[in-house]
Amino acid sequence: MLIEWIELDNFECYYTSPGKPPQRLSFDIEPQKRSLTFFVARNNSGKTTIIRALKFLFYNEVDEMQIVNNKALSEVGVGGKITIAVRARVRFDHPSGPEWVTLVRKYEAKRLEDGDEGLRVREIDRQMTLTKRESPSRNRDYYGADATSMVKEQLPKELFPFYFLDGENLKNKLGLGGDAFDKQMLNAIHDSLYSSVFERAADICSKSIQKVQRELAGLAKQSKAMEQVQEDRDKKAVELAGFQSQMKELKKEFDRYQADYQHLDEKYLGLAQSESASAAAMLKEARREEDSLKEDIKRVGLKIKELLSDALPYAFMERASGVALEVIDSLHERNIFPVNITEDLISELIKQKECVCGSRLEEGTKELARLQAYRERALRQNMDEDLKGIRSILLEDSRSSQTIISKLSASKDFISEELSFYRDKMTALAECQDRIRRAERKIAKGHDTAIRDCITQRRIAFERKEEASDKISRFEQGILRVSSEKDKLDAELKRKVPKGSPAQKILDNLAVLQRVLEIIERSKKEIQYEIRSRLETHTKEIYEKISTDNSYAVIQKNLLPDIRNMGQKTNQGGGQKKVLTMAYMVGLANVRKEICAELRKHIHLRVTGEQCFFMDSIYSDMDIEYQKSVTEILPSFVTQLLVLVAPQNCSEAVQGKLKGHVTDMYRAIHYTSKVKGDDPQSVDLWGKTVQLVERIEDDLAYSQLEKVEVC
Amino acid sequence: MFEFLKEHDDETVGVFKTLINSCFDDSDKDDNDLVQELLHQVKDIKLEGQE
Repeated sequence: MLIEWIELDNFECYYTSPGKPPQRLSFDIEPQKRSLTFFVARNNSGKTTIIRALKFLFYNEVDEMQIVNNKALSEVGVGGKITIAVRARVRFDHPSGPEWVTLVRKYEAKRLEDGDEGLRVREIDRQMTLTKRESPSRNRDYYGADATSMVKEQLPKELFPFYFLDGENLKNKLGLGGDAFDKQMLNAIHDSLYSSVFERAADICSKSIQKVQRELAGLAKQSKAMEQVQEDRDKKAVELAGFQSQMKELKKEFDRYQADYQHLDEKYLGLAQSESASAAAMLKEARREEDSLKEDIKRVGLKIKELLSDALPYAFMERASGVALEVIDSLHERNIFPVNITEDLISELIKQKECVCGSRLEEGTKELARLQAYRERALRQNMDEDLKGIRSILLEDSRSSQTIISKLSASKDFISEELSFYRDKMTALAECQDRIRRAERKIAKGHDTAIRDCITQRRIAFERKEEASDKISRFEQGILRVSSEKDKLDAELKRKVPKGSPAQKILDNLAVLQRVLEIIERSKKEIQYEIRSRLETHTKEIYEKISTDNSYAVIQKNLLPDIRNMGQKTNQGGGQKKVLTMAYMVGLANVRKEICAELRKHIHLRVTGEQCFFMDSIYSDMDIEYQKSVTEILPSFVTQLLVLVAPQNCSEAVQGKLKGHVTDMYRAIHYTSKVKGDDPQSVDLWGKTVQLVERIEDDLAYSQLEKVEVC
Repeated sequence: MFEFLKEHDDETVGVFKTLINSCFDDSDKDDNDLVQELLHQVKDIKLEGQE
């Protein structure tokens, strides 16, 4: 399909002055030449409007708020009508030759009262007309669905986003990312070529087979010889269908149990782990407490030991206390502090000491009494001085014994106090150790319960699975048996059909139809495979021609995933990604053309797959080398190419390359558009064939352009 | 593409091509009409073959 010209009549920013013809963008098509058009215009001066106009014309897609030219609308009074139109002369390419048609889509609206946001309209009517020359003297008009289906056949709607490529906003237009992008591309070409046709053909073939089978069954009933066989065969067919249906259900059931079985390990082991984790936390806490208590007990034990050492300084106790301390040390080393032993030991030591001291006191008292008596006797014998000395020694001895007893009593109290603290700690330790034992039991029990549950559930699932599996295998045997019986009856039926009889003919027809159905199914797979493999080859070829500094293998690895993921990522990489995207799109067009050609060898296809290619803002985010390559290489891959580009992105290098296209091969034209005055709703088209202006962005260059002639 | 068609007899391939062409060309036709046409063609082929 090629577009010769397009007219925009009060469509968006393209205002048509009253009484004047609408503005026309002519692509200057010449037979046997490729059409290359550069439309260089500043931002917001109507470039992308061209693409929207085509979308409106071909597919009736419209942005209600934007479509009507506001300047034209303001000239209509409230309640007045306005008609917006897009017209185009388009070449449909058929295998038998080109066919020129004129397409017109009109949008009629009524002006409403102005709203807060400005002018408002209400749509009244919208219609499309396709005019085709039927004979040299007669044109024929097609309307509505007829016209639409002719356009869709040439350029399926699914392919529009790819051929009318907006480099800036493709990702937004598609609104896709990841595999969905690939899928949409492949589906678009798939649907545009054959899918629905092959699906329908398969359906019609199946219906025909059913009809022939019914015919055969009817015929069989007419023949007595065949009647019983046919009846048996039909019964077997019903039985087989029943088996197959039950088999399907069983397989579903089996899959369900299989899935249950597989999930059980994960589920129940997860539970066991969770139970264990909770008990382990308790255990950890109890063990920490146990450590702390043992530390306290050790400290108290050492204190007691110290007090005992203080309280037993006496020579007569040294041996006994030494033994006791050795015992205590030994117990401390093993972190064992038996309260009763320590307590008994201390009591015994104190008792011994009290006993010894008491005995000494008693002895001293007795000695004192004896000495008193002796003194009295000595007094009588004038031995006073001697007696005084002895008495003093005895008194000293007595006082010393009393001091020891009082010191021991104080130590005993203190030791008792420490022992009481020691007993408390020992009690806490016992409780703590009890908790540890409980936690350990809980861990063991938690594991056991969860694992036991798991094993039970798994066993149940396994049994069910095995049961379903047994049923399946029994059904498989049943199906095999019934199928074999049915085959035998079919064979018998065939034997009973005399050659050349109507029934034989029907059987032969049935066989042909079954083979046709098989071919249709295989063709679908074949074309699917071809589309994928050829798309890859074309993309590689186009990319490698455009890009000189990267091998496709590297780009494919690094960038292809990005392109497929455009929904999430922005354009990067000096234009590599954009170039690859274009290669992908042009590759798609080439694949369609090739597949159409292949299909035409076998079937009567009315389209050739030739496509026009419109590309919007392709140079933005692209470095100069890429811009040059794209300008040089891309036009050679397509029959018609319109490049919409902003002046800031159209470098001298691009223009240099563009001039190189002005050869016998190409008919190149350069267009621009300019906003008239300050009114963004009034855009004028300017153009000049072949001779490109040097610096199109300055006003002088604009003034050198010729105004587009309108018809 | 479609090399596998060589594996089939001309008669079957002919029916296949006719059917696909009908689906392309007569997209507006009722499915039942296409079924009738297909059956008619298949029967004709067989009868011609036998004659």
